[in-house]
Amino acid sequence: MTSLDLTTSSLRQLRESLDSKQISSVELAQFFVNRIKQFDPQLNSVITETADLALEQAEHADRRIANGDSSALLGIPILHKDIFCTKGVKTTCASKMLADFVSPYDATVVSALGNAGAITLGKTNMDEFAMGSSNETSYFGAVKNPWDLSRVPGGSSGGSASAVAAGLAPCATGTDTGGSIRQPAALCGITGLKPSYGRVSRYGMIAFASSMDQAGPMAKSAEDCASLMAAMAGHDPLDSTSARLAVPDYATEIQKPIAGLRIGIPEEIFDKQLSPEVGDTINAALRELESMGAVLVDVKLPSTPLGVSTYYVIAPAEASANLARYDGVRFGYRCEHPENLEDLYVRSRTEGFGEEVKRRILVGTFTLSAASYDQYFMKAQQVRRMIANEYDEVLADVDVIAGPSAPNTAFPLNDSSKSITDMYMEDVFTVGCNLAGLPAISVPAGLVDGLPVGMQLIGRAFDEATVLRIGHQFQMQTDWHTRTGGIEEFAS
Amino acid sequence: MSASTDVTPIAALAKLAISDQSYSQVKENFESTLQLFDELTQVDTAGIAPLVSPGDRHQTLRADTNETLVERAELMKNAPAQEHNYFAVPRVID
Repeated sequence: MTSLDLTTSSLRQLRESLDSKQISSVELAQFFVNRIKQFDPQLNSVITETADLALEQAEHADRRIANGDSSALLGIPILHKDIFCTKGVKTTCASKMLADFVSPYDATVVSALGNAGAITLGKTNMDEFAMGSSNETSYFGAVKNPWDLSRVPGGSSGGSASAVAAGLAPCATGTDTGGSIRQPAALCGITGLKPSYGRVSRYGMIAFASSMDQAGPMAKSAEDCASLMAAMAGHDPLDSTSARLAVPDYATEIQKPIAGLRIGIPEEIFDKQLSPEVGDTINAALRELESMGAVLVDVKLPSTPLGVSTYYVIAPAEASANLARYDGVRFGYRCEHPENLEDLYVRSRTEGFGEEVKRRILVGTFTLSAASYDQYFMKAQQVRRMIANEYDEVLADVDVIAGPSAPNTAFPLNDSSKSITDMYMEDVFTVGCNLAGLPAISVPAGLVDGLPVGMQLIGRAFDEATVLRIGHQFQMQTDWHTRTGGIEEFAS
Repeated sequence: MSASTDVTPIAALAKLAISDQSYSQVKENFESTLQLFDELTQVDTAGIAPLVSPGDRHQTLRADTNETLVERAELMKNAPAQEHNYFAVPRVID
């Protein structure tokens, strides 16, 4: 074996250990399989473990390594959010509706990472159908934050964030419709990238809001995310919204210094919704970027405060249409002893969906109805255009826009003081990118009362390279991304 | 939006049932969400084209040719009920 600390190693360090035969892929996979068994009962970050599959894939990887193949992800273990279809493995989307669904095909993200040699450790917990910001809406129970087990990991990719933060896997996949990669990455002290809409294929990714859903990497650093993006990004003929654009060499791009890059700071972010302590932490991180030669520029995004209401019209509307497919007929949950077809539809959906999903379907059904369409849905799409135009105008003058990923640090589980709309406001800093289709990264930027804070960097469409580059260069100067939340302490 | 909405017809459109016990809570949550949208109605959007999807800029379509991505037998494995290799549902026509 090895003296390397596998729980904190970067993907590059793991690659070097595999190539130098310091460790085999089978040993590496077994290490993380064991770690999931040991720690996940306390975190609930994994819905389905695939130990046998992982070891089988790792044996194959070891044969490739023995033949001199040193592809970046070959033999590297990964967890997939349970929203990605995995052939022959349960794909539940954390819903009773799909609790027994076994996908007959792989999502393109899964097959791309598999072809790159990554080893599938299992499927991570999430908010049901990705609807939530706390990972408390999962049919399989809430996920806990390894920094403080009484707190949420964020959502919806909370299982992926919690697992990576706790060292149960070196990296994971996530999806982000309104902040579902960036907010849990921030709350768990890891790095997460939401790519531009169209950069990564959505084929085989269970749809929530199709005009905003996007898959991305979650890992310990921007460098690791860049490595994962090399496999995930690119045109896919099976997804008509996948962009036919060349993918830059992210590993090279992130090495460039950031001196002279212009970073826009929107005045609207430092408003009353932002915790003052989180604001101070972000300000300190911005000063760090300035000391590295970046130029901070005040900018205005006046429609930012409308982002949450716009998002919560559009996302449930699209969800209500996407989730119409779950009718108990072709796949998914079917109620017992239906009296007739209508009863089969209604009871299968009523019993199969959780409360938050039904709440959003109701709202979406209403805003798409003929009487409400212009007042809500059309209006929201017009405001969406305003928001996207503002980003375009600002990003014509600056290279990226920076700010917090979330207004607060991780909040307590079962926080009854938070109303449903309070919960929706957790997404205030993240939904804008989804509405506009822009890439954004969250990188650890400090701690408040022992809990991680994430800084968000938003880039121009399809310029993931610059947000990864700034994230990586920031992480070369700081060590926030190397901090862990004390997972070993609760092992005993 | 009226101050009070009957959510039962909306649920019926969505093929969902709301129990008597949960009705008041569902209605309250629904109405509080709609209140969140009130600020949108105040925005002047005259002359602004709706943005349906950022993907509209780069949508690419495949050739319109027939291909099998997943075999029928594989798809049918997830059927809750089937007869003669078709999805089975309760009798529709007596």
